[in-house]
Amino acid sequence: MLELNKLSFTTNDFSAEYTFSIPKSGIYALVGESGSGKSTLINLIGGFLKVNSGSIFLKKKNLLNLSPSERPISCLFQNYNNFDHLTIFENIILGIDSSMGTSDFNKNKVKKVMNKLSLKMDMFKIVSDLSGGEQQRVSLARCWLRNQNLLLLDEPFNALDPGLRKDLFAQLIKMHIFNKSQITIISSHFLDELVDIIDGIIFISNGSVLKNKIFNFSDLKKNSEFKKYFLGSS
Amino acid sequence: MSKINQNLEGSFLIKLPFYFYILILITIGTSVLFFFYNLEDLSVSYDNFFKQSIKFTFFQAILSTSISITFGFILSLCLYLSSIKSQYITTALNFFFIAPVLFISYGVIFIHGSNGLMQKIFQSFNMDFSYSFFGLVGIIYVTSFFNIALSANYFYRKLINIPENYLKLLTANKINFYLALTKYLRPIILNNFIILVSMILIFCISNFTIIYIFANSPLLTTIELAIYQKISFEANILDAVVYGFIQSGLIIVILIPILKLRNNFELLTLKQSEIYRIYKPNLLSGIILIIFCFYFFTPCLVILKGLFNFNLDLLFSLSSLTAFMYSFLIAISSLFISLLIGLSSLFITRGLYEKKSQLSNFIIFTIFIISFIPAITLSAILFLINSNLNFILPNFLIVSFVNSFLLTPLIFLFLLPKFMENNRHERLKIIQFKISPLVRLIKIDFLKFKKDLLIICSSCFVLSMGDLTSITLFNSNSFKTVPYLISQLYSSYRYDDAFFLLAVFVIFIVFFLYSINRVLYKNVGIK
Amino acid sequence: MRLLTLLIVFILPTSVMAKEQLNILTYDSFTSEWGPGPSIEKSFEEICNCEINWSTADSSGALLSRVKLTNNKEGFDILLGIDDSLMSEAKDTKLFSNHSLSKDSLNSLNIDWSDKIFVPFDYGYFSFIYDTSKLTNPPKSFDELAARDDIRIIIMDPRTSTPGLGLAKWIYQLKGDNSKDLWTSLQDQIVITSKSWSDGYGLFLEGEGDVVLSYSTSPAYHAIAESDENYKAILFEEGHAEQIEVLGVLKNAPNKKLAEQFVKFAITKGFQDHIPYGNWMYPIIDGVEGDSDFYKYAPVPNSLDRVYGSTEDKALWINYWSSSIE
Repeated sequence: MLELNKLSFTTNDFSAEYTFSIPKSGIYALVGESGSGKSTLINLIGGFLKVNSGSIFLKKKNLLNLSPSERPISCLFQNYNNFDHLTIFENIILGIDSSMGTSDFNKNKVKKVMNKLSLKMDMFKIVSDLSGGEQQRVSLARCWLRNQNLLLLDEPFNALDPGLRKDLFAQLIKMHIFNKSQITIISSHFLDELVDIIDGIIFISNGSVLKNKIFNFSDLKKNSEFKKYFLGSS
Repeated sequence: MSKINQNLEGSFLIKLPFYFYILILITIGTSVLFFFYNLEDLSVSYDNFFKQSIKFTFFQAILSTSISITFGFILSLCLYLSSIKSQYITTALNFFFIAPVLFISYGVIFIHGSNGLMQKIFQSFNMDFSYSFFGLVGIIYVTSFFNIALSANYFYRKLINIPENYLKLLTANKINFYLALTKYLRPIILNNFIILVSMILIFCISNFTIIYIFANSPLLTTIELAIYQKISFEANILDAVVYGFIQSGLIIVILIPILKLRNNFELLTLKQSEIYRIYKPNLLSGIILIIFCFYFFTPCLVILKGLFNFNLDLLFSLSSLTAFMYSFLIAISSLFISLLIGLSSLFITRGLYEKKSQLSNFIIFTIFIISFIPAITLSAILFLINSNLNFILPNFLIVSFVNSFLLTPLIFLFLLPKFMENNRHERLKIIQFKISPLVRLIKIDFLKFKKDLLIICSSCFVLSMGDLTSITLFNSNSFKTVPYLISQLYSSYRYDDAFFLLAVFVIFIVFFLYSINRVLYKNVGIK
Repeated sequence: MRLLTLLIVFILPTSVMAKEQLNILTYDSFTSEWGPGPSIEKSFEEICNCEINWSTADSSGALLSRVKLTNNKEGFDILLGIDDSLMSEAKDTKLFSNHSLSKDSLNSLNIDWSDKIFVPFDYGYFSFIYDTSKLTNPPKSFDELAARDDIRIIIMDPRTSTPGLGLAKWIYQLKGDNSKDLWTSLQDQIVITSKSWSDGYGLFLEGEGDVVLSYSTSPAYHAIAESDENYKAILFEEGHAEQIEVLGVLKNAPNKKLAEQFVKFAITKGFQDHIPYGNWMYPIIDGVEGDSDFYKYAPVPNSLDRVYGSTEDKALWINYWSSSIE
């Protein structure tokens, strides 16, 4: 479904080349040391960085010819996912209607998705009044509404406490149930929390995917590089 | 809560310059009152010209501020969309802001005067299209030159500091540039916008040289110019000081909102990111950029004219060398005084802020206010005090002190964000490890802001070299600066000599700023 | 021989240091390289065994203010360059002392002069200058000038410049209480009111105006120094106002004796020779070098009566001008 072939990106200080393929839908973890190239990979797939060479195909569609808004992708980042001065409604509806019209149609859609994510407050509340967990759920709601083929998450729940993180991972699973054909790639350092919900792990090291393939946790644990990352040097 | 046992060694030494400065101001104020107390005639004339000067001061200030902010914003958008490196953009805009007023004024006359380049071009095409740049048009055109550069620089830095993730969100959800700016990014761009408006208003209200050169009627007079006339032509100090108080008073009233400043001192850095160029330029932004290039670069053609009139004898003549020497002396001493006071006040402000005292805002306000004391009034008062002390202080020191009134707020405001950065975390460590204030200033703060310090010091150096305001009261054959010498040559119709000296002066400034730039950016990779 | 060298080495510097200093405050064009200052300095220093230190103010209007501000604490000996309309204000400051010129020496001047404090050093007549290649039919009177809307006029501010004040005086001398009407009808054509004569004249030469307020002697400069005979003075039948430039000794002058010597020198050929081709004004004695050529290019116009305006007169003339500006 998602195929990257020698997707390369170079700057003065960093160079990377990614090759891997994800054959079926599911939730996949993207792990690696800080600076190894996780965010760069997400930015390349999202269309926010210019690729030097290589290819990306999603459901046999060449993504390289498409601008970020044309790619069937939703993104969530560690921070700055919402416009704090705007309402919950505006931040969610932004995903499908850039004019943010307050038509009944739009309001219904937003209400539905808010319910799915247990956001029980007034949709016209300003986002800055919400807690951290609630704010991330608003961003997730936007992604849910967009209902795209690929969902990219770049360390989205790092700043939250473990309980909240668990809740949000559960929401991810819910989303996946609703959209079975969606591929979710989540970059996170909390692999142990994710192990039970993911269908595979992409391990990035020094700007490339380990063995250019997706691993399951038990196989990956045998790899020395991964052991060093996950368990430390001692 | 128990009192924290802090190491305060060196604290008084650092605070001393600011206290000393305030003491000097109080002393000057008292001498003025004493002087007036001894005057027989305390009547002040508020003739029609003075009333008109108040109206005109604020009219041209508000007009120029509005134009500068609008066009500055438009320019910043076009620059943001273009693929020019951010470092070049901010360097160029900074240069145009600190360029000597005389350089730009004469440059504009060279292009747009009745005998200027544009008229010659029109005449060669047999086009009968004549216009005069003397009057309100010239005043606004030249005043806005500097202020557009300032506001464009401000907005541009805001734009390139928009969080990357916001840009990704906007572009992924197909939000066009216009909507992004007006709806989504508006709070970021307008945050602390009032500081920009205030700074530009200050510069416009204290407008002297541009008005002096371009005003074609007594109705186009600012309060500063009226004060200059009262001193130079009527020897009326009383009127001059009262006018000065009125100007300062009116400005304080307008700027009381500054006291309500929110204390988020945001850092505006120059990032080198691939992602920020998500929005692409279009034909309109390209055309606008070309128009602005014409606006900013054409006055610089006067340098070429100057170079064609190479005159080594003039350059090495006694008057030129004296002028250069005094310009350097004034620039260095102005910078030294302003830096001392600036760092001292920053230190005090931070200390008060850390103690959650409202006085920190008051210090900020005080620093701001001193920039409103008209330079001419202050110069005249100091000149008189000095004459009563039988000229114990050299003239250049007085001029430097007057310059510090404009430079100190600049240094203060520019370094404030960096100074306050991480202050909460730092303060805990400072207390924990009993680090003295002096050590904190030198070993911690200095390393934080040394790049910014270099930028603001070089800018202030250039600003005080190119300043003409207070020197006009002190001139004599033996005491003159380069701008003053150039203006004298120009008034004597020695245009070739004036332009040549101007060219040398500007080339020196460019070379100086370029060297500073090389030092600043030598470790940053340019892709 | 060795002793002689030693003596010279020691005495020469001290003899240089022993030279008296004469401090003169004047307007900047007087001491510029092409002004009369340098030549006058050379001539005087030959006879006085002294050195002249020139200090300058931006314009003649600023000269008096400079000494008023500090009661001459800066230590000037002579103020050179105020004109007859500022004399009474200057006397009110009580900063000047009487000159020591005898009645006979004053009688030798080619203008009538009896003032006890100030001594004239040149004179001229206010006039509008135009470029004959651009303006072919100049007006012949003030009324005609005011009626010609096509003519752009450059004048100086009467509050800051003596020619500006001279114009206000001139209009008052001709029109009296109807001055405001003339001023009002001129205002439409006044494109620039500059702070000083040099600023205004420079703008005229750059084409910013068609006529400029100046002196009837200005064309002589262009004709003689630049070989350009295009510039001429507009001569009004109704008459031109006069300006006499004066110098005076300050009461607390550090070097009174030398100052008085200079004042005597000012009315001799040594000084006056440099006036026509230095200051481009009429000399106050006859028989000065090159004056025949000078008078050819700068004929003396019809003159109005001499007026020494008091401070109140000055205020009145300025008031007629200021009330015509909206």
